[in-house]
Amino acid sequence: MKKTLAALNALTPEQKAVLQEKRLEGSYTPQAMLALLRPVSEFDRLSDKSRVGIGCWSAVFFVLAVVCLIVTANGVIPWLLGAPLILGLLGAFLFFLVTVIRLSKVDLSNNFRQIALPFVAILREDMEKGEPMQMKLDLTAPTAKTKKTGESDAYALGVYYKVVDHFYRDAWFEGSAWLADGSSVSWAIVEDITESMRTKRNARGKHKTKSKYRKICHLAVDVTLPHKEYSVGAAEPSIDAKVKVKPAEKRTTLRLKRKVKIKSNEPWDVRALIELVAEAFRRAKPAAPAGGAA
Amino acid sequence: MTTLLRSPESLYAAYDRFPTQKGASTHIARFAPALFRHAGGGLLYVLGDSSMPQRQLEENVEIVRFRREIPNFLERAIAFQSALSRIVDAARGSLRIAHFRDPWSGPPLVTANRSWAAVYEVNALPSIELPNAFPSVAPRTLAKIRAVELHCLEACDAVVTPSRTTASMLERLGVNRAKITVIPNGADPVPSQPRPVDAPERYILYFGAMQRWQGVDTLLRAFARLTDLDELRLVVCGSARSRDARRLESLASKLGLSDRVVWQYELHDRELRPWLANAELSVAPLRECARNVEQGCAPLKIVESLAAGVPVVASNLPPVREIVTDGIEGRLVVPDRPADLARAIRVLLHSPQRREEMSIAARRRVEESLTWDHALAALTALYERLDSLPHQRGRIALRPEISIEGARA
Amino acid sequence: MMGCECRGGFFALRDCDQPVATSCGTCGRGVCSRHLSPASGFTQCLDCWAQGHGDEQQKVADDGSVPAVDRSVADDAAYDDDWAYGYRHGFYRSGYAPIYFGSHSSRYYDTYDTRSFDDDYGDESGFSEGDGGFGDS
Ligand SMILES: [Zn+2]
Ligand SMILES: [Zn+2]
Repeated sequence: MKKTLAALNALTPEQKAVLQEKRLEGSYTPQAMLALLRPVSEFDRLSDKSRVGIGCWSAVFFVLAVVCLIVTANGVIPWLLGAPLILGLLGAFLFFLVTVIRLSKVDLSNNFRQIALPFVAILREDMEKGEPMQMKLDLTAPTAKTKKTGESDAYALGVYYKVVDHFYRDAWFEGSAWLADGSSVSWAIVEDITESMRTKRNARGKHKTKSKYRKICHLAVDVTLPHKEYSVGAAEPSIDAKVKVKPAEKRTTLRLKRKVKIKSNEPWDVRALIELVAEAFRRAKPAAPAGGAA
Repeated sequence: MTTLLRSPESLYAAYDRFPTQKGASTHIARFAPALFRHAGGGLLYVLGDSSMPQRQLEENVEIVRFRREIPNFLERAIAFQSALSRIVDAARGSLRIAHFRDPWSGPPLVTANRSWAAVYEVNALPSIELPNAFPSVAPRTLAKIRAVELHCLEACDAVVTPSRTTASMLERLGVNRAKITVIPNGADPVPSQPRPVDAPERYILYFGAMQRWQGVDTLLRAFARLTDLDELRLVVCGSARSRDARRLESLASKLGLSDRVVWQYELHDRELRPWLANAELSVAPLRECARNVEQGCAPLKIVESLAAGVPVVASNLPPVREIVTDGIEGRLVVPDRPADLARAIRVLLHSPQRREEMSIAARRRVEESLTWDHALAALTALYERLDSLPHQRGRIALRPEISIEGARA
Repeated sequence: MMGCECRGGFFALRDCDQPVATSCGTCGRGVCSRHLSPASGFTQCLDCWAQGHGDEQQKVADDGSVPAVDRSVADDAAYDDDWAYGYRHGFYRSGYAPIYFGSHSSRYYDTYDTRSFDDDYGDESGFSEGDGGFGDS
């Protein structure tokens, strides 16, 4: 926890702003972008890890406080000793509780750490040093109220006597970049999330509700290849993706789309996006040298 | 930037994996030590894989292996060459003589203001060979490779080649005849060998690689005409169970020869020798193609067969005639004609006495002029000649109509 | 003097050519300061370090499916050059062949030349195993 709070305090105001707003839009060089976001990501990682622990501790202090109260009320220990102990334990409980709430308020979607950052780090390799990329990142929770698009009527499913599906649309990542070879890449990610709230009655007659997630992630990539460097040829498809080729006078645009289906609310593998860009470059052949083949 | 473990007096460079069971490797294992003996030490620069050490120092010889795995052949050759350039930079002060085998190693070793003699050993020219392996190589790329070969041939001090056929091709390319030394491949006499336990009663042998130009398919078709010889088997000892080898295996089964042909792969030299020495005949069914006829080749397997006292039935091609005389050490037959090949084999099989005579002649042929000692003596004599001409590097000997424009880029 | 011999890029490769700082302790190539691997203690180029360590990072599912979470990006990855080159190494190993502009130390052979070697014919060609010689035993 100490480490996590230290990481939080070490952030620059700009980085703290990212945590508060959870949105980022504009033109950044990948270097600046990574420098800005790496500490944020590191804090987010530590925070994810330690929040569970801190939560446990706050529960432990609460239970201890209650136990103390009972023991003192029964006269096992005198109030003179019991009262400060109870207050102390309650204080510890509150401190940990506030910390958890404070940390969860600045929690970023894991998409950020597991998809956006590695993708920028890979794309950077193909960019001229110092060249900016445009991007728009929304790192608020995928199931934030603003992203809700509707919900189903209640229905029954097996042991669950009441199931309500909530639908969200999370368009959290898009951007574009010029690469060193003169081609350009733009991308847009839209995730359709279904949160299925399922309620059942357990053996003791209590009502229990839990959420199940599934999502369909739509990945779209446009790669534009200049004819000066490339000709576009055919390639055996290596992944399940839709590819449209749009030739123009000086360049050819390849429009690629694929869907990733996941039965949880966890991020998908960034490889799915990298493969999609690679699928375009697999079709790129070097333009014949000027003057043609001798 | 590259630091060497010792200052090499000589350098032997080859774009070949070393050591392996292949012919190129045998050649390097014989020639490179002769160079190092002559110069009193040196550096061997070859290809390697991760199972081989990258650097190795054995007495006065340092071995450096290029081990980076680059899937693209040409890119790998280019990277191999640039690493060699750095070695040459580091060796500049001590180097007196360099020997290379290909246009990938050549350019850094034939630079204009060098202080060492450069020997180009031409076994084959990639500009002729490569289309066999890479059918889609562009003509302009082959032209570029040819230009580098010509540049190396022109700028080196001496050319060594194993066959007169190759030598005349080089002359046709404009190389000064005086610069070329023909040093045939050698083989050391093989004493009689115990019969391999699993060997068939009576068999003829093919051994070596199985690229199309080796003509193994002709041999299989010929063998299909010999099925009346009940107990006769064909033993094929291939260097690797490659795509070509599998193609031939399926041809054999199509010809109904499955239980008559014995396939073996990657035999070590000492495992192969008993199979060779106990064969009735060894067959070298080389195809009559540009590669074999114009460029020439140095069928080490023929020399090795003779050294084991095994008569050879081979295609009647110029490079083969340099080694075998028809009717003396074996029979030469018209290439690519299964019927002719089958007839020659049948006749020899029917005449143990002729085979015996040929066997004796074969051993004599090797002992008189084709041992490695002969080859190495010729090579050492060449090195000595070069030592005595220290100031005449890279005399131009190209004919005027041959352009080497671009070769020095 | 030649520039750095490493290749930049991920989807398409190009020569680095920045001024050489030192040479890689493993492959001996001249390497610029950016292409030296910090993780190796600046003794190896990023490629050689990736070759030695990249496989630990990359997890490729056997059935070719996309796993929900790739360990290579999950935990404490720093997303620095060492990470990127490790990822690149793994990505290329799993089948992607990048297009390449330029040929190091050789402006003589160009991309068009190297490309025509991409359809490797066979294993006993006498060439594909790097056996440049006359593959005759
Ligand atoms: Zn390296
Ligand atoms: Zn560099």
